[in-house]
Amino acid sequence: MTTQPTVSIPPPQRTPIHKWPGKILYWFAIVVGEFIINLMDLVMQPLQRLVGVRGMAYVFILPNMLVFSIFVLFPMMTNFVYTFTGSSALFLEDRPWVGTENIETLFNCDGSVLGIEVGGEDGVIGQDPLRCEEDRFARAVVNTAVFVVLQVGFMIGISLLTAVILNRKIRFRGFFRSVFFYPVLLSPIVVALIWRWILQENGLFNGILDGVGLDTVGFLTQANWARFWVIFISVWSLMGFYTLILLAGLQAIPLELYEAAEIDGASNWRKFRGITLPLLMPTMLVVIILASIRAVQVFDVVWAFTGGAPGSATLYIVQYIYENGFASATRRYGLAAATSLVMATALIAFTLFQLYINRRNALESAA
Amino acid sequence: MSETVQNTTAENPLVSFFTRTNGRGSLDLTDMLTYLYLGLGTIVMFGPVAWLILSSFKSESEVSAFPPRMLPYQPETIEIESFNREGGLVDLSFDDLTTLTALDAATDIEIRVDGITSRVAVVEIPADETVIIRAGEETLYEGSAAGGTLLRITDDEFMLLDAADPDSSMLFTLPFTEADNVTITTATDTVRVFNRVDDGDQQTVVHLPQSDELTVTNGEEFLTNQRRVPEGVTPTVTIDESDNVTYIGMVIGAEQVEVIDVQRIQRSLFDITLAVATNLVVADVDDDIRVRLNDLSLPTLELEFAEAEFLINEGETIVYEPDDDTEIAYQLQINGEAVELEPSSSLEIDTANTYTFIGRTSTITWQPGNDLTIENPVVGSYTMPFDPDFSVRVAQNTGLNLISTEQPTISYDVPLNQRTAIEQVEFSFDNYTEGVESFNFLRYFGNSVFVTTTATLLTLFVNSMAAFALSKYRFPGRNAIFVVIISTLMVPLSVILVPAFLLITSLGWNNNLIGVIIPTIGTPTGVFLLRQYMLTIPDELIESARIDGATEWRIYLQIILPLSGPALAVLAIFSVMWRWNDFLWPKIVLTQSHVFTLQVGLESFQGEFNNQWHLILAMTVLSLLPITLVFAFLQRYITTGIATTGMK
Repeated sequence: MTTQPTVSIPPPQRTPIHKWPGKILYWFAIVVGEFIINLMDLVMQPLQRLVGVRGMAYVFILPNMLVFSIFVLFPMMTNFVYTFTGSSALFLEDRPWVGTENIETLFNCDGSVLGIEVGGEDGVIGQDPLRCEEDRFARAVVNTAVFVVLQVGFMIGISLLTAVILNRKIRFRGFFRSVFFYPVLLSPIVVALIWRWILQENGLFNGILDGVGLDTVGFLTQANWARFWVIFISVWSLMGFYTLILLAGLQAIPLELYEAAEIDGASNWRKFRGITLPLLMPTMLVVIILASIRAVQVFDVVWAFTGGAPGSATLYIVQYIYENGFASATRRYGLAAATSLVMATALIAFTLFQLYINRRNALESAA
Repeated sequence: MSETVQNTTAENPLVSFFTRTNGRGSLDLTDMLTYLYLGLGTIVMFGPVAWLILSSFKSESEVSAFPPRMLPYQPETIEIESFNREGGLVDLSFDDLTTLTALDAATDIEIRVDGITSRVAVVEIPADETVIIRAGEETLYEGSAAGGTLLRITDDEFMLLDAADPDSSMLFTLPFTEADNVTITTATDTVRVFNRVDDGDQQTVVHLPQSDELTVTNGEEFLTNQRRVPEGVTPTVTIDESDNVTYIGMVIGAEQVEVIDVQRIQRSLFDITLAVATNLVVADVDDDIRVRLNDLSLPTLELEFAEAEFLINEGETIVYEPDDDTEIAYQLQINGEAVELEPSSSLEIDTANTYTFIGRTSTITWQPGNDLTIENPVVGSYTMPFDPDFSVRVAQNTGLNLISTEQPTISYDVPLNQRTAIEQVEFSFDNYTEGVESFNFLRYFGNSVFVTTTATLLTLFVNSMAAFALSKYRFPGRNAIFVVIISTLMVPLSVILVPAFLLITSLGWNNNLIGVIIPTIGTPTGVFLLRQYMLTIPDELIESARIDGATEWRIYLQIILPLSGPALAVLAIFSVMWRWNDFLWPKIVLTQSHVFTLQVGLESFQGEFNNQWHLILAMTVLSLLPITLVFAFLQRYITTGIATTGMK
């Protein structure tokens, strides 16, 4: 090794102070900010004197609770009123009391769709005659249930796989993380349009199929294909989010555990089963709950993707609410509200069930 | 979230990438699989967006072409140098020898197949409808027409033109005898059949109800009534299977002069040589004379009157064969003198003579060997070359035909198999410029930005105050409030749609951006997130500030808010994502386009322009542009910010 010339350490760089415009702006902002705060304090000081330090807590929480009560709590209460009243009037005073009629309408299905094979060979238009509205409701419920189970299942599986892979020592991790996350930022409408463009009759996929000499497939016109793609694109568009959360969970696992396991000669799979999974469980639970709540609410992406077609193969519960309440010629707010109520009940029951399962798991693992 | 890049200081990153080790010798199988997964993942996650962007630069015809091509190709185009509408003539000069002149006005649409000129029935079939064509019992065709057109060409020929792909059009020859019926079935009520009895001007427009059948019986004549093209409708070029391109002149309202946007008369170039065995067909104004130059290498002139035909060969004879029972509505003059001809009589053509054919409105003058002159009181006079070497570089137009009002048309029947499109990879922004005419991007974008920023700022402000109260004060009802907020975490806005809509309506916030913003700002997630974070801020800071005499308000603004920076940033990211992508709630509140947000606008646009994918694609790209740019610059902050939320 050749002798290096002595390295002279350069003097520390000072931030240039001669940039007067920036400096002026900085001080100006500080002065103005101070002034505004003081101005606000002029109002807040007497207020604090009036209500006391503890009273200020109520002042702080007031705006949020105001909006929250008006736009969340109050509507939740009013939802009951809508559920038990009829007619297409929006204003409550115009709505006659009908008791549980709306709820009964939802569940009173003589030609139970549950008896019909929901997956139907083709599920094309016409297979779903509007004999009774309940048919569509039952279909929406079954579709949603199947969708939630499959979508959340795939979502967790793929997100976990991706997170584990991203957690390995890889190059360009930041880039790949962004790649998987990017679709999360796309709006559901854009996502739906992107994939409709790819899957349409003359689209890319059919072009590829045609290119290798296969028959083209009506991806959006065959019921089961449509269902598959709805699940696929919703996983595609959201998995990055859950991957990130799981990745953070993975990175919070202390490396010493793995080192200890390695010393004990544990295989990779055993390390995954014995360390990763149990320690990731709390994060997994958060992800599962978040993903399930989102899956139950699926609407906009499907609305722009298939619109519920073919027939009602991809009709999900929120779309059912939307159609009854806001898209039908005669607005059936009662039915929409009743559906919301059923959905909210299911959601709450589902979350409680999840928490219960988790508690039991936690107890078991503690024992 | 440390980027663990190992010991690669000075090496080329690519080299070290392929040679890096995982503590052992070289890339092992797991590493390979890892990178395989990541590579595939990149394709699956980015590919669709890339494909969308590529496709958005394709021309309208290419967007609907199947199978699709990867890159956008544009036909090479030429500008029409002169566009002279004076004197009612269209003068279209191309960059080479060709001058397109003298196009016929008031003719009906003609579809020419192999030189047979016939009137046609046109049935417009909406996309995604199934078409069944039966002749008697036999099903000739069953399948999609993809927005195509069914044309009855002659008595026994039908053609199904596929709008998406004219090249794949099918020609059916039906055994169309008197006993047979042709049945056209579609499952829609939007099918229109234009039926006209040939000898009169009477028109019947048949609107087929859903699932109805149209039965065409032999002997009925069908004509299109597209003679008057409704405003906004673009006439289409049809290319049939028999290798002919037909340029159809259309008239938009005989009385009104349609201003042609010169810019739109851009045509793509095809190298075509009109050589032997080609027909050049000219039809005059009232369609009572049609001149056909058969086989241009031999100067044969064929005159086809409404009820009779002449066949004139230079130096040969005129053969005059009128149909039976027809009233002769034309006159033949030789050197200005009227000549009466008996049916099936013949007349020797002398090159020294000038022959004049006088139809109902037009007069055609021809001296063998010279150009043909056609005179029409409406159109004026024009000539067309009668030249054996007449060759033309025909530009196929892409969406617009040679359209003019009160102006004549020439139809060129061009053999398709002699045609090679001159194409080049070129990104066309036409879809964007055309799209924004009906997609008010700037307004939607402005609305979205306003909604997103206002809602986010309000959310941060309101939520942080509430979180401050919930984390740093003890007051009666605190726990109750917290539990109520938390329990609504799992009740999404979509289950309270109806009552929330009632509120908005009562407040008069319909079609007001306020109605989109306010209901969303009290998010339980935000309160929860910020409260958890503020709990970690030591109370001592607050206590000492109080001792220094700071008011609670000042403590909130100057101590809590700055210290909650990371949590606020995360909430801001979330809030921007939520509000920017919100669709259902804005769609319910906003019904007028001037208040649409980008998402609602895009959805409405794609509903309105149902099958016009070229426009939809371009507008979709515009819609995803802002958030993509933001992500490109801030991706590290966004991904790490979100990742931390799962950790509490």
